[in-house]
Amino acid sequence: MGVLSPLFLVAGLAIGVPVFLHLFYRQKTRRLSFPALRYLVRTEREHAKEIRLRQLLLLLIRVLALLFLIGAGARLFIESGGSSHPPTAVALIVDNSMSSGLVVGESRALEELKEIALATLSTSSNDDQFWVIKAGEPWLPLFPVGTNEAQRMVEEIEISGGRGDLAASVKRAAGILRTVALEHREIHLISDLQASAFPVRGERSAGDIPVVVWSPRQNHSKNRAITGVSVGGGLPPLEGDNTEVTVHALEDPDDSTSLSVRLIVNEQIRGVTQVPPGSATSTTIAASPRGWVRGYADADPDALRMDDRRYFAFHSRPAPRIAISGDLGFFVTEAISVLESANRLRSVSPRDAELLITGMGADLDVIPVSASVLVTPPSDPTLLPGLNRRLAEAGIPWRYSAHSRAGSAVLRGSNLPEPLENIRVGGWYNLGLPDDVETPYQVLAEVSNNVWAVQVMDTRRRPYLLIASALDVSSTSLPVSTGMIRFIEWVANDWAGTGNSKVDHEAGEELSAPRGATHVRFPDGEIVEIDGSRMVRGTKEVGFYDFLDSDVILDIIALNAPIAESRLETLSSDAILEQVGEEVQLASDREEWSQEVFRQRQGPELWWPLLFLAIALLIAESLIASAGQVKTRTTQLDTPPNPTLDASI
Amino acid sequence: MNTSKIIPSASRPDLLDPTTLSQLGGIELIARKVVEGFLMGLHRSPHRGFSAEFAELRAYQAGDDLRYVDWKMFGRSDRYYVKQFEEETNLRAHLLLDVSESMGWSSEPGTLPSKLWYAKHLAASLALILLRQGDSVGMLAFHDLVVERVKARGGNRQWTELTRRLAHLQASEGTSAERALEDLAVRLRRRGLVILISDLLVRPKETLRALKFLRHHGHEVLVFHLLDPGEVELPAVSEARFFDPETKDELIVSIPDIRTEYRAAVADALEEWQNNLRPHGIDYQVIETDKPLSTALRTYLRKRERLG
Repeated sequence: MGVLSPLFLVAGLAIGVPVFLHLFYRQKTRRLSFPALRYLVRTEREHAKEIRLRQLLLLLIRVLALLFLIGAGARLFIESGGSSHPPTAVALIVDNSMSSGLVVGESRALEELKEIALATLSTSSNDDQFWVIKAGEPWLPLFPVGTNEAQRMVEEIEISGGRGDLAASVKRAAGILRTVALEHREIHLISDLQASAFPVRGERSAGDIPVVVWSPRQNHSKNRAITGVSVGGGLPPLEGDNTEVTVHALEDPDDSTSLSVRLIVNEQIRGVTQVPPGSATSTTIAASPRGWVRGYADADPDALRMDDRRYFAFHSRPAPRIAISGDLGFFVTEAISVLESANRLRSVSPRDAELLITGMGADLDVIPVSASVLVTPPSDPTLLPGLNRRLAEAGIPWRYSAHSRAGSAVLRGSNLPEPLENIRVGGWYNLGLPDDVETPYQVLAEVSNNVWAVQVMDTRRRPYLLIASALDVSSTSLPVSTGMIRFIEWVANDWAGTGNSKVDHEAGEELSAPRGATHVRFPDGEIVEIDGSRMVRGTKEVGFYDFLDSDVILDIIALNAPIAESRLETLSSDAILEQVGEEVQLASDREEWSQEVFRQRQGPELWWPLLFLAIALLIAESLIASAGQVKTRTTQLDTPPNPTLDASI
Repeated sequence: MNTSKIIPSASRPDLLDPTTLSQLGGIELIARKVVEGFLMGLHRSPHRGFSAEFAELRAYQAGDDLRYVDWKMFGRSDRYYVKQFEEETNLRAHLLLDVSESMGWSSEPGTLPSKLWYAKHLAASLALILLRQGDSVGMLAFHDLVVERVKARGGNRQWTELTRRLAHLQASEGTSAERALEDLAVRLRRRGLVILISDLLVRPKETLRALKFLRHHGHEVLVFHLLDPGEVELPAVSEARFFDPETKDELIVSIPDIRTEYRAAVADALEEWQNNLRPHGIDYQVIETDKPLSTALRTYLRKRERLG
């Protein structure tokens, strides 16, 4: 037996009222003169049992009636299968990630997921609270809504081009539900359950919150997809150079048929190529004039359309102008020389440079305002004070300091540039901020939990990249690795310039606005002002995101469908149970789903039979009690009329 | 038989409820009005069957019994006249009036007259009827002891004496009806009519024995058992501590719990009286004190008729 309105049970204290009255109230009585007391005595003597029985019966009836009324008001219900449920807080997770766009039969997978969600909402009550979480749009804020608003929100769900992180969604849902006042809580996970949606195995995101998972038996769907497009072999294309565009296709062990891909650049077909599954094919496109180039690789559409096209963009521009200052060592100069000979950059004086690579902070005062700076420390630690002084003059609060350290470590970092991956560092300086200084910065690489590469700005908002090691073999393996040239290339183009050869951004990512950008234009044409966080969220569409300074395009970033979603690998039931939480129920069809949701199922409420019984008891009580009511007296004559004696008129 | 409803009016004080009747005046006035109204309601002389001598003629009125039309006068005058008779009787009636403390009780003080008021006016009315019939009437009032005694006589002076004595009677003390009855029984030399007017809150065995004694000695006995409506139906309160003004006994009662059983107990008690009295030829009539006096008067006349 359960209770929907437990506070009403407090009224149960009122049960004591008739008992109290019955037991104690009789002490307070009026004193009445009554000559016929003998009749009362006779009554009590001859009818003691009946009187006592009626008293007890009335007390019992009154107590029962009160109990039934309280039970009806408290909304007692039978805890068993039934059609209604107590007020429940529900986090409704609808997976609208890219893979939900898969066409199954005649509709997309998302439509079925929405139907499941709407079916749940149709069985809800006005007392339920809902949080609608779109797994493909995790940046959206959450707030509780009622049934009608939740229905509207579900109906408006559209496919997001981004990856669905169900683990994060479930964790977020559980966090919200733990703060809710309602006793009953559930997470309804309605998804196509891609394995890629649970990046971390064994996490049990929901904890102890009950989760119902929509887990229908699915047929494995075949999908062909373009999984990558790279331009220039990873190097940003330069003005006047032919550009190589490489297209990668999704692997398919069951099908070796090549994917036919059209290459469209600036709205013109530049070529058609055949890409075998799991392989890549390169196509050379003619040199592009200076300026932004947009393009996409387009395959024949199949059941999952969004990954049959992949966007790319690059800035065709002249080779960046590089200046070096101070003694940078052999390897730096050699790398620059190699790149210059490959026309990947041009050596210029500091006054004309777009990028200054300086060893001691020299020439910081002569480079243009628009230039960027790469600072490498000297091998000799005694020269650090000079470097620090020049940094201070430039308005950079970061300082180098020497320390003695043993051992080496590999560079790490969430923002680690590709050329620095697997680079080992054996010697590095302390690179830090004074405690009382607050300034924006971004750490790009760390070594043994120490800052190794950090991006900062001076007082003129010129970007600086400070690295903690001298670029010599005693300090780091970078100079003698193949990464050295790529590192210089990266600094010159990706970091300092606006070449942005990285074309594998995924929809849903947060984008960092480049320096100077005031607005961003979304693929659907909407222009949004960039706020103080300098981060762009809500990138659920695939396509081009243009960063603007007024009308001038500063950068174009192509966002594409996440590759992992294209593989359409669903989780097994065991894996679901392991990933989701401690109390998980799987529903493989709609009937099972309807039985599993709102699992705190209550049976029929008892308020109406209790109310009926209470009314019946009260009627019985009044009938029994009315036997003790004063009888209406009649004016009948006591003796029969006598025709000889009585008058009549 | 015409069974149309009898409507009390100013011309029929006998049909008025005691509450209204008590507004009309003193005992003598009320008794006269009640008796006159009562007799007016009768279409023939109540003396039919009594031995009587023709006294005078009066003009015929609609409804007069045609047996008493003087046909000789009609033949002589072409007008209808009715014979009026002088009654003669030798009945001696004795009114026994209970004036114990309980008789002074009313369930609605100030509204409904007490049982004693009712008894006094009933006694006065009965006395007037008896005296008009030529009977002699005496009165004995009692509580624990006999407090008032009027020797049985006839005539108008007797009526004045009775009403004067009745007017001064007050309720007090306990009840010893058997003592009054025994006192009367000792004094009576001739058979007569004994009318006991009491609430019968007495010692039942002793009282019954005394009544049977009178009956067995040839007296006609008529018992008017007066009940206040508040003694038949308990008051509309939830609980009370009842006390007997005569015996001072007390009892706490939850009235709704026993109301039904109380009615049954009262009915049982009345039935016991009836079952104990009537087999011995003692007439027993329960009179509730909110009923018109005519009820009791009719009972008396039925009794009187049987006496011949």
